[in-house]
Amino acid sequence: MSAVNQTRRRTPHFAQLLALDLQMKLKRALAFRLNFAANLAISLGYSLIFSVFQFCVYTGLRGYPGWRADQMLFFQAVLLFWTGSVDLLFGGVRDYIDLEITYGNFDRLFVSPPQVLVSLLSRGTNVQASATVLAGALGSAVMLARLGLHPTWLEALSFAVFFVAGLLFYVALLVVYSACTLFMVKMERLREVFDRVLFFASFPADLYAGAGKAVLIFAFPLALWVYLPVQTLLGRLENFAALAVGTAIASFALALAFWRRQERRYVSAGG
Amino acid sequence: MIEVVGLSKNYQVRARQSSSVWQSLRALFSREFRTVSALEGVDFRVPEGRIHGLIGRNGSGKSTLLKILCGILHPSAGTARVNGVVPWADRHRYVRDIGVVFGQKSQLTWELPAVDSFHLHRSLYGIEPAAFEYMLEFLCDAFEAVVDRPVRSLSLGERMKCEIICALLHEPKLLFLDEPTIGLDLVAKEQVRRAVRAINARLGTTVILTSHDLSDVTSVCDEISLLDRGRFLYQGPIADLLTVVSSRKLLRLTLREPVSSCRWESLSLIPTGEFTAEVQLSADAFTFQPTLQRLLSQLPIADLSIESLQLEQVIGAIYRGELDTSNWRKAKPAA
Repeated sequence: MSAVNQTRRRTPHFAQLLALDLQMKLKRALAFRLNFAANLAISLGYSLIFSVFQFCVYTGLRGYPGWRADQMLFFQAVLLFWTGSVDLLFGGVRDYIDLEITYGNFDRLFVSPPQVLVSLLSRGTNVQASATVLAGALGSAVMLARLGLHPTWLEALSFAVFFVAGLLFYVALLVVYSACTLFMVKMERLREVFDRVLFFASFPADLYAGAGKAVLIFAFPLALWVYLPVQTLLGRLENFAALAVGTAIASFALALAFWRRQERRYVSAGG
Repeated sequence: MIEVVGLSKNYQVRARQSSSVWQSLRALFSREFRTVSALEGVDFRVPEGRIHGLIGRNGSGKSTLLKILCGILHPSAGTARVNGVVPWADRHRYVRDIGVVFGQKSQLTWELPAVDSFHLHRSLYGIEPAAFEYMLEFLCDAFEAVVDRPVRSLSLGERMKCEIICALLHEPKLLFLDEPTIGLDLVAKEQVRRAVRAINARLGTTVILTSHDLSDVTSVCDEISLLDRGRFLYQGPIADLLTVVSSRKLLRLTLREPVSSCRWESLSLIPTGEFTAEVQLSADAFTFQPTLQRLLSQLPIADLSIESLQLEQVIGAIYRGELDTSNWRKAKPAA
């Protein structure tokens, strides 16, 4: 009768957990098809509205320094791809931890085989963001062609490295947010601050003068998300931009240490 | 299976003098904390294959003990080994061999049939498909469960059965059931109890059950631990408590004079109204009759009834300190 215990079992890794969560979310979404279709359209609409808003800012300011209109459109397409990707993979993490901590359901993650943080980060996929990812990918491909860009292997690799490092930095910020939630429980306006800070990444770093630009690239590398990958493909990457990758890795390591400290102090809610 | 020695857990909680707005404003700048002891050096031992009931009032420390044993909380002092592992220190390895059902916290996906959550569980625990199908079929039979309808459309009883099935799919050696019958009707309760007994008998799964429903405990458990204010008041076979139940009688008295003016030094009267009171007597053949005769001769009794004690009344008496448990297996680990 111990058929299960006879075989040594393996815990799925993070990518598998993300895939499992996406599958479950897709099943859940398809259980209410009309709602799913409406949400998909609205999600895409919201993303596109921001692109239109930014284009208005761009024309109102008579252009950003060093950016032509077609380059700016390329930036926006990559931005759409970035926001869609982040939303697809981690869009629901903050909602998840906010709710679970408030109502005392967070305990469940402690009795599941994956590490608590791995479980947490893999439970926030948002399948509705897939439309934004596709729109962003398509827009980026079209703009690459219109700009006549033919990235070399090195440039493509560099784009991927910046993009992944950007994801790592985003996850580091999420981990800090989650660790804070463990002891603060209610984040509310701090959550808004989190969103406002991330908003700085939606514009080319050239908009921020001197020290501001350096901070966004090296100290708090939001530029990893869109600006540096786009600059790579446009063939005009700043010197020492690779240092941003190091900052992202260091931030992630620090965020992990902070999480471990808070996890040990976790006090479950209720009975 | 479970060996707990001197386990303590203290919480730092905010000390509030009152609920006034001024106090809340003051708390912005300076907060005072006090230490609340949820567990005070408890010893606890459960051999493999037993069904052990953990009972106690709200806030007695049951959930804290359970959460420490599940690896969720770190204790303030003491040690615990479950399946040879310290739960909070080696959580990753440990949780593979336990199943946990929190009666008020669902692990099922609300919009989907329970079987979809079971498949997710299979992936999380890396269960072989054949073994998974075998266990699923066995558990569905044991619980007579409906697993192919969306969870949101299931009754509470059906949902609870699915929760327990989900916790058992990876065939854990130890199952924690935290109030699994809360809110269930009589039929559903009985189905859950029957299935728990069947799982214990067929798979040899050790079960730790907490419940406020004593009929759960008496019908399912071999042994119980009675926890109050972070300490065990009683630990031992359920049969011992039932012996106590059968060895005591409850006398309900209606008096001609107010209870407060009546004095009877031998036993303590528990007032239940101005003229009514209760008293518990030992049903021992040597003492019952003489005690009753003295009672009748010394108190102004208008009416009297003699009833057998219920288990709830015995446990209530233990909580209130009215029953001397020093001769029982008080706070000793079960053999």
